[in-house]
Amino acid sequence: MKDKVILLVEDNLDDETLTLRALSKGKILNKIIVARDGAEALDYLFGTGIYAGRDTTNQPQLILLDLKLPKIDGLEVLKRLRADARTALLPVTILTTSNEERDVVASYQLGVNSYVRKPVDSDSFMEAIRQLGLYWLVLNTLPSQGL
Amino acid sequence: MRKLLDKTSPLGWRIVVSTVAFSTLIALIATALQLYIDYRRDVQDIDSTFEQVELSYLPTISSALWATNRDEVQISIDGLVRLPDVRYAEVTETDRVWAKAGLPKSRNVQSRYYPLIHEHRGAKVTIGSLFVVVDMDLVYQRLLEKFWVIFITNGVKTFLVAGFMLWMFDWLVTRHLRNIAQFASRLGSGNLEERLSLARPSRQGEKPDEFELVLSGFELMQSNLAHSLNSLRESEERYRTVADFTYDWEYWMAPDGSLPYVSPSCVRLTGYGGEAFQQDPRLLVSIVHPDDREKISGYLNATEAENNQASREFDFRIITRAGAERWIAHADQPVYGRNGEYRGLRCSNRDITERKLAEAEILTFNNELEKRVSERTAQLVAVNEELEAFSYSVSHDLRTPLRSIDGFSQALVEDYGGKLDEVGHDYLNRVRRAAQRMGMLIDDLMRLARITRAEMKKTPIDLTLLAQEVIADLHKHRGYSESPFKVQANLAVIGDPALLRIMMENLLDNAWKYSSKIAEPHIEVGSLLDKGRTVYFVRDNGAGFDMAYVGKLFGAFQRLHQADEFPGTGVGLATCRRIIHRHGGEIWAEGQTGKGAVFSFTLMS
Repeated sequence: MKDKVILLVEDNLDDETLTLRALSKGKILNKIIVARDGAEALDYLFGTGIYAGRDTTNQPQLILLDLKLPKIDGLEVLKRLRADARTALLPVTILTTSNEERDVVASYQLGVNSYVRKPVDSDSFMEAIRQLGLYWLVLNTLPSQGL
Repeated sequence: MRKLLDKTSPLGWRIVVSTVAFSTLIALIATALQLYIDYRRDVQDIDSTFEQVELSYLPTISSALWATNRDEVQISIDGLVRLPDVRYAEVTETDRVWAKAGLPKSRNVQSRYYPLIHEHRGAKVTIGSLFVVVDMDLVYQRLLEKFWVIFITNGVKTFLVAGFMLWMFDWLVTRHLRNIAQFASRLGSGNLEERLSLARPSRQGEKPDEFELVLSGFELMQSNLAHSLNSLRESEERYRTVADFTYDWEYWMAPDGSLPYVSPSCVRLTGYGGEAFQQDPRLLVSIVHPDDREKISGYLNATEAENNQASREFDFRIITRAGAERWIAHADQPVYGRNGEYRGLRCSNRDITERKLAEAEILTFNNELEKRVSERTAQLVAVNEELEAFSYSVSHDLRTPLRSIDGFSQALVEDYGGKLDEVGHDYLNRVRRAAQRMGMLIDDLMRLARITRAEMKKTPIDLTLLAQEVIADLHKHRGYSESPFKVQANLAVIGDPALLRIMMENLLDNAWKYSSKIAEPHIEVGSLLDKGRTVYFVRDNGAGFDMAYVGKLFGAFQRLHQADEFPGTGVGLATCRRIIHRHGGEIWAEGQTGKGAVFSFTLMS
């Protein structure tokens, strides 16, 4: 599965670095595409804007989505990608600082696959990322069509 | 005479007249009788005169005639004529008048023929006749005279008697009757005190005569009247006091629509006096506010059947005489007489303008209040939402840099650890610990804030079970041993399960933390009765605290120990207090340094 891509949607540079580091420490070697805001993420997924012309049959295997994003926020991104046939079945994990009940509910209502709260403590953070990767990229089976 | 006639009493007059008439009748009869008797006597006298003639004169004349003694005959008949009432005597001898005396008269006479018989040698021979005429005139005259005498004397006598009777009657009867009549009329005009007295001589000891009976009758009547009048007056005063001094306007409407009684207070309510209504009962309707006329339509004309229910009540407005608008509460009920006959309606009207105004005021006030409440609620809701948004973004914004601090510190340790000496590692560790602590603080604060905002449920909770679950959790996630815990069975409370769980987590976590260092920790959860209320507690025999600082215990961020001694943010107890307060209860603590502590709380029942 090495050629499968992980889409990381994260606006905070520090968090981005830490996440990437955690992924590599967790021996997850997929290619990681980083989108800095919701618009960029959607552009990538739908092959529009700065990613115009991208082959949209080739979709990420996992989307790590932060909620608080500039331009278009996480929930909106989730909503839109679930609305489009090309991306409707993609596994999405929301990775966010918020554990507000209403965010969790909203995310699940929009069809998120899992919701993980970013711990402050970096050991836990590393562990969380590692487990995430292990689960979604190795353990979990995805439908073969549409990907 | 006229004056006298006027003074005579009609009654006396009638008595007198009838008596006089009767007496006159009797007198007439008596007179007639007497006259008849006299007449008969006179007639008898005449008869006896004739007898005398027959007896004494006849033989003489007969003899004289036989002897043809004319002189003797003349003397005899002269003598005969001199007899009372004899007017004429005539002797005839074979159709030849031989002698006569007196004057002949043919009217009013009685005449007799006597045959003159001479006895000669044993044979009776009629030798002639004697013709005697008695004049009745005198008889009649005498009778007439008698009649007049009797008549006049009777008349005078009657007149005198009548006069006397009248006078006597007046003196004995009429006078007193008049007094009585005047007295009675004075009585009639209300003078009950005066005693009737008639100017009569008092008669002691004899059977009371009619006037005395009247007097005693009057006395009895007077005292009875006075009595009745008194009771009547009292009764009237009683009812009048109640009726005339009513505060409300009361009236009695008779079945025909008239108003026999209207209380004086109607002036106060309507501006019109009672008389105005009594003169024209339609005024009752015309003072009603036009908008309310319909409500009372048909009121004046309602039939007995319609009025014949239990009392009716309704409100309406009137326009007073001065033009003001007042609200009236009307109540009426049918009234029945002693024999069950329908006697109309008894009505009561109360001025409820103030009440209506007050009601209207209350209504507006209520509406305003509701409006204000909903405004305030809206405000609060808005503020709450703002707070929520605020805390949401705050927690997010605070955590993010923390993550960086901790993450990159860790990265340093992992990737460049080799280049650092012990002090450098130590510094990095402190940085990490500080960041983590701040994360915990933020979590606790967020939780505290959420507790204030969250909606509270009120359900029955098995506190024993809850405590046991928390203990199991603590054991699982924090590695606390379960053995020191003892939970009283059947603790039942009413509250919000989520909040109470948080509270128990705090209390039990605290209890464990502060007893962790002693050899035989005991932590007990139970309840007891204190002054009629149930008090729940968590008791431990751990480090305890100095009671001098008990006031600081529940303040946010207040700690009585160092963080390295016993970890904690100092928010836990503040959270517990807020939860208990939301449940309407109290929480307090007692402790002794080195001996342990008891945290007690109540929940609103």
